Amino acid sequence: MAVAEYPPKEMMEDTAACFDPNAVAAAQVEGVAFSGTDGCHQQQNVAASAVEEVDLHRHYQQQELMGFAAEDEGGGVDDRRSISRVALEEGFHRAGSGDNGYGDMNQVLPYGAGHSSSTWDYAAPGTEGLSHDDDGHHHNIMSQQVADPLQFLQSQAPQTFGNDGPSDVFASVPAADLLNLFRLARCSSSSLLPSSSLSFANPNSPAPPLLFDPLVHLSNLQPQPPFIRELFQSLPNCGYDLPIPGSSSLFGGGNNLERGENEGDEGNNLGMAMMYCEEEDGGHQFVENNNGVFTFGSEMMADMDDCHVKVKMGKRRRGKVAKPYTTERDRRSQINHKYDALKKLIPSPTKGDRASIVGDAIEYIKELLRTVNELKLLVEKKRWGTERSKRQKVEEEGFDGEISIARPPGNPADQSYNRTLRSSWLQRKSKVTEVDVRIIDDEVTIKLVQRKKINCLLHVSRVLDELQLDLHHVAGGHIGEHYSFLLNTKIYEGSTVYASAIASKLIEVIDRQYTTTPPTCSGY
Amino acid sequence: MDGLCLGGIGGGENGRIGRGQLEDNDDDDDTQYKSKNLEAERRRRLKLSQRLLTLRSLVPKITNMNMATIIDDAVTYIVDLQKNVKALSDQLLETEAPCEDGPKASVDEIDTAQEMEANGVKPDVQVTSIDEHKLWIKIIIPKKKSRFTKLLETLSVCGFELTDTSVTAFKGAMLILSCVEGASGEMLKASRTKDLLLEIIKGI
Repeated sequence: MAVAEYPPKEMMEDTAACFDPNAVAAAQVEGVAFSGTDGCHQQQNVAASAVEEVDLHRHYQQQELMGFAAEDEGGGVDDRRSISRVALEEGFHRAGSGDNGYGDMNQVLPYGAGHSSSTWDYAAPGTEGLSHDDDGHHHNIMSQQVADPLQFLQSQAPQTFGNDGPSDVFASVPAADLLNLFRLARCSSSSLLPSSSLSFANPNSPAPPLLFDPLVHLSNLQPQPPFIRELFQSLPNCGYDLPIPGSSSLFGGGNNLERGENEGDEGNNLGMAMMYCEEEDGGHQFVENNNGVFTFGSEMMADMDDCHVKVKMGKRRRGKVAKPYTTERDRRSQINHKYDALKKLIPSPTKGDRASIVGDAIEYIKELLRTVNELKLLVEKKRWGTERSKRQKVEEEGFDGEISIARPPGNPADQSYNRTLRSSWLQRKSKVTEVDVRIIDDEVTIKLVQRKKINCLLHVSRVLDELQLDLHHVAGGHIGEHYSFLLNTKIYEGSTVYASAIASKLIEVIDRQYTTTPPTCSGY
Repeated sequence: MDGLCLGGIGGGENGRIGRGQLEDNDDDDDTQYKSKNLEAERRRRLKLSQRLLTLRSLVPKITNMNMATIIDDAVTYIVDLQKNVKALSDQLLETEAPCEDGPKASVDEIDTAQEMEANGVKPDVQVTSIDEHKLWIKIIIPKKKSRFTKLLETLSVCGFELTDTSVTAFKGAMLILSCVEGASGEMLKASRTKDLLLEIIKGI
């Protein structure tokens, strides 16, 4: 191709920056470029060369887009990208054949040329620092927003190039979007996100469907990935933690496009991102695009939640068949990472093997659910309690001396709320202590087992006083190596202590005492 | 359930299955080993898969049905729940109503003593010697709010250690039965201990 012939320094001069992330424009320029290649006029030399460089640029810029952080991850391939690459190559083929179906493009060229000097010149500074090298350098160019060429391009919008894809789609995307696309692709600030018409926050907007249609052309597809990445970076937690390592590119190096390598990483992320989009938008339209190829670079996947979306092979995909994991070993290590993550969350893990981790996780989830219910109930009761006490304050003033033991009579309305019996149960274990706390209504039953070292009854009693639990019954003592106690207590009226607070406090105190007491040489 | 639907569990066991097959030298013993191991392995996998199924049934949001995503979803769910708990407990703490126990407590104390008398329960202290080093004590006192704690504190300061204890509250009185030992294994005398206890009780 003629493009290849161009010495790098010429690229430095121009433009292509002006076409920037707007692949649409680039696609247009592609047509322009080829017509320019076909007949390079002297006067249009600048334009032509610029255009050709644009063309080459476009590749890099596609790479840039795809590999946002310019990390050279092995590219994954998904349908869209494969399609886009195909489109690209088709375009090239067309160009190479010198086909003159682009008659109208020749018309464009003068148009372009007419503006070229101004636009190219304007864009010239932007190209500094551009090199043929792969990724990172595009940033320089990319970051230079060029308004004029944009307008130039936008003005080109209505023109039809006589080939299929880019023009249709381009025409249908409002010009304002282009500007947004430009900016968004470059700045990673989340503030831009709301301004984007492609914002995910608005799944009902008509624009996105077009963009997320898998058949949509390259031009519209490309701006997408940065959105997604920024979206996830900027979104608050939606209940699912999506730690996306800042450094690794979500969508891999666009090098793939040229080299045709499919290592699958990018596709993973793309697919994963898609997947998460799906989750949070509750089945947004672009779910069906979730065809990313998944391979897991181990460093990448250490933190990320990954979706095992199997690859739907794009038929036009090339390169090696990407499996979800490159090796079985990777897969196992991934799974082990996850088990570890689960294990870390569980408060009292026992053994390290998978089955018991899962078992503990089950128990813990149940416990958490109970705690949540208990707390909700408490909050409810408290709210009612304060209301009730406000209401009854007027009454109570006359009854000062007699309130004590009897529970203040509740209004019938309150009764219905108080009828829900509060119940909760949880266990906590530490190395030397085991605590089991059950609460039914206002009675707390505590089972405590401690490997004998200290006189824990004293400390327990102290803790109970702190927590405002009224000791009703205690039984226990020295059994074998352990102290074991069963305590029945009652919660004082108006206190809002809850099970896990009790348990953790107890364990904390006992463990503290355990460790700080020097080992006593008792007779036992 | 050898061909587990949960993909790849078998993959993780490659080493272990291999281990079982390595002992393929002898005849009878080895078939036993192999089958035992195989069965054990099978049971183990079954156990794991059942538990994973249970885990999945608990988690409300599931994406994909394979093993790794189950765990992922569980992790996110647990984190979510923990956040909930924290939020609720914070909410509880901040809306904490001022404690109204003060007046109640004092009223309690007056009442328990009266209640005891009303019910004919008499305060009592008994000390019996079980062993050279062991004493058995019985205390009946009116129950007050932090009395038990104070009693324990004083006892531990005096060098007593309660081994087997039983405490009950009933009709305004608190009954404490306990085996007491000297913390450092010293010899205890019953009478002396009794006097000591009486003094303690007066003080708390």
